[in-house]
Amino acid sequence: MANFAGFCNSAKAKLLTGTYALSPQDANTNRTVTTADTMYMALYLSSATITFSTATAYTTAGELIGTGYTASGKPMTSTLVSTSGTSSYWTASSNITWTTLTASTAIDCALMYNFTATTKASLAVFTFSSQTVTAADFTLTMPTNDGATALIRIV
Amino acid sequence: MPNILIKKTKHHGWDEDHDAEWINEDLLAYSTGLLDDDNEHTIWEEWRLDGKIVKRGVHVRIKKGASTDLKIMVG
Repeated sequence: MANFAGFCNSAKAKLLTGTYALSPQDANTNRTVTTADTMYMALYLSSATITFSTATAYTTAGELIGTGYTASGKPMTSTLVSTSGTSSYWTASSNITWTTLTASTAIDCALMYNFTATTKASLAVFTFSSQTVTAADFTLTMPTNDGATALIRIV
Repeated sequence: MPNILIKKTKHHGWDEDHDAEWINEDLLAYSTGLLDDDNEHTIWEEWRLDGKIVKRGVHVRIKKGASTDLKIMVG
């Protein structure tokens, strides 16, 4: 059992069908709603099996259960999608912190998904070194928001 | 020194999982560690009582996000 990072395979088709709006969509005669979706980040145990190749949606299987953590994870602060050269990219405008968290079972994975979508469609999987947390904060700090390192990039 | 919140857990070698409690920070041994590679820059802080962890905080900076290609094939 292991978690593997990457842009979810399932999200590629959904990009082409408008499942994710990381910032407000253009007006469209078929759709009246153009507001951005709310993306969430959920944490998973090191023993879970969350992989970019198979993840299709948020799941509680393998999700962290601990004091200071609520199932579904936390919302990500929205910002506009940017474009530079041939790349378009997006990074949450704020870091994500779980305060006074106790995660006695190690975690090493975060799943980004569309909380607004009925299907809770997954977008990307991120992994890090296996960590426990005890009565303290766990912070996920966002990468630099540019074409080379942003959290989500289409190149 | 101020009091800080700790929690004794079985995971860190205590007899059982205790409720969180406040304790004078002078009684604790503090250490910190760092992992820096292509994927992440992670810092953890640990406070120990009698050699056992009672508080552990982690800050993970994701260095590089996820990407995908969109290609247009012509011809």
